Amino acid sequence: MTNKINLKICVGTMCYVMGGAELKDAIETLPAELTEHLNITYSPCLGCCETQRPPLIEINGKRIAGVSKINLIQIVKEEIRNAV
Amino acid sequence: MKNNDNFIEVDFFQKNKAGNVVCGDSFMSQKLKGEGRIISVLSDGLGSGIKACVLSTLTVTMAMNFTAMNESILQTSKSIMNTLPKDMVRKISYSTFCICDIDCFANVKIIEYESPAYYLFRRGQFIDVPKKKIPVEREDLGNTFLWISEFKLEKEDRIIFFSDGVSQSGMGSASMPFGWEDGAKTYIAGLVNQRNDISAKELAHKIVAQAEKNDGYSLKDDTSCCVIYMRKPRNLLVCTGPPFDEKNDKYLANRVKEFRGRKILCGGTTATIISRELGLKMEVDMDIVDKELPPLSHMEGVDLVTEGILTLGKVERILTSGNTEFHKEAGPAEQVVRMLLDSDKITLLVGTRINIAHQDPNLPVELEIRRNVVKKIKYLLETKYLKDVEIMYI
Ligand code: FES
Repeated sequence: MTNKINLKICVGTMCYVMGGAELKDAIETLPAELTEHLNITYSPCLGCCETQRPPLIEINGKRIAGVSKINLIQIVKEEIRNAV
Repeated sequence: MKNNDNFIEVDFFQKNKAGNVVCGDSFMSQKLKGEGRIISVLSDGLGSGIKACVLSTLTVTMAMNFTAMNESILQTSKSIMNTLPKDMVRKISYSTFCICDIDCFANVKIIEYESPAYYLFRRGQFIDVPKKKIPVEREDLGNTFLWISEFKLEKEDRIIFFSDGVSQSGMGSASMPFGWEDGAKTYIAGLVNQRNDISAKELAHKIVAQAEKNDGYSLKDDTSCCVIYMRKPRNLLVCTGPPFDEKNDKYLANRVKEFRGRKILCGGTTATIISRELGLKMEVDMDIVDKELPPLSHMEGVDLVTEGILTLGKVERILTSGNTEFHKEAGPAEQVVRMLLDSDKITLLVGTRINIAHQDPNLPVELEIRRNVVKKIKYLLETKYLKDVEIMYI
């Protein structure tokens, strides 16, 4: 796989208090073979917390709302699987 | 003080006599907004510990209130002396004071009673201001005088006054058998000539620290120092919240761009607007220093970029607590506080658009309304930290 997967975690106020604060920790529990495919960045408010359920992430341009530690890991794994 | 673009910084620092939990010196400074006056009072109570603390607290409070009401100084000192409780052993009621009253035209009046003489440092040297000597009649103690001096404060002037913990520090040691005395002048002149923009806060800290050193790191008396410094104001802009009307985004961005002074953006959406309007790149830091708060961001031309409401809430809590001495590894809120306290004139530019999601009662934390937090911060900065603050809503 050549291109890395871009994972943006929203750390705007709403997302942060609704669990976004812990999302990066969740990713850090993944094995290095997986995380090396990721390019993780933080983002200020993505502007959707008024209509969608925080916390939000953006993975390769797709916005996903209501992310938890557990489903984030699944989302990431799936995205990597699709990419390889 | 707003006239001719000068700002008067008043700061103070003290340390207790070694082993004492309370300080026998008291200090109070107040800005009378309507009149543009700044009154500062320092008093040293007889002895040390609680008794001294009660005496000096009474003294500064009375001196402050009487001065603010323009009561004559003789009446003021008489009232203070009649009010102070008498010492059981020595049968006197005694505390020193130094009142510094500066009006809106920078006219200074200093009244000293039994306190070490103040210093006026101007253009690299100490100036001796002629003083009027007024005898004080009291039954318990003869030969005491009020010393009154009046002069006009000039830009870059510093007034320094302190308790005898400073002037008598080191007394009895081989190098200064009679105490620090004029050595203090040499020390202060050295500091200011080395760095002529040294703040009142830093200078007061340094003087007390040196006095402690003179005493072999175990202070023999309560030691207090107040520094008043008139200088060009250090401006700070704190911009928080998106404008109510999106049409004003451009206006907001230009205000930020054109502001002369340091700049803080508090709020992700606010920062995104500025970044978009001015074409400045913004990057969110990957380091979370303070778990309670989202991380800082970085933007060229802006000194500090933080999250909004959570950070401001914490700023307010820190300012209320008064615990403002931090270590190097300070989180976003501490960094905001540091910049606020290092400034004189603070403009709070507050966007009034409300994020509806913030009002959701199911949130795990309560998010305050931006306007309210900002108002509280303004109040604290003005009353507790003597800053000039203005709020502008947009
Ligand atoms: S805070 Fe994440 S979308 Fe608004």
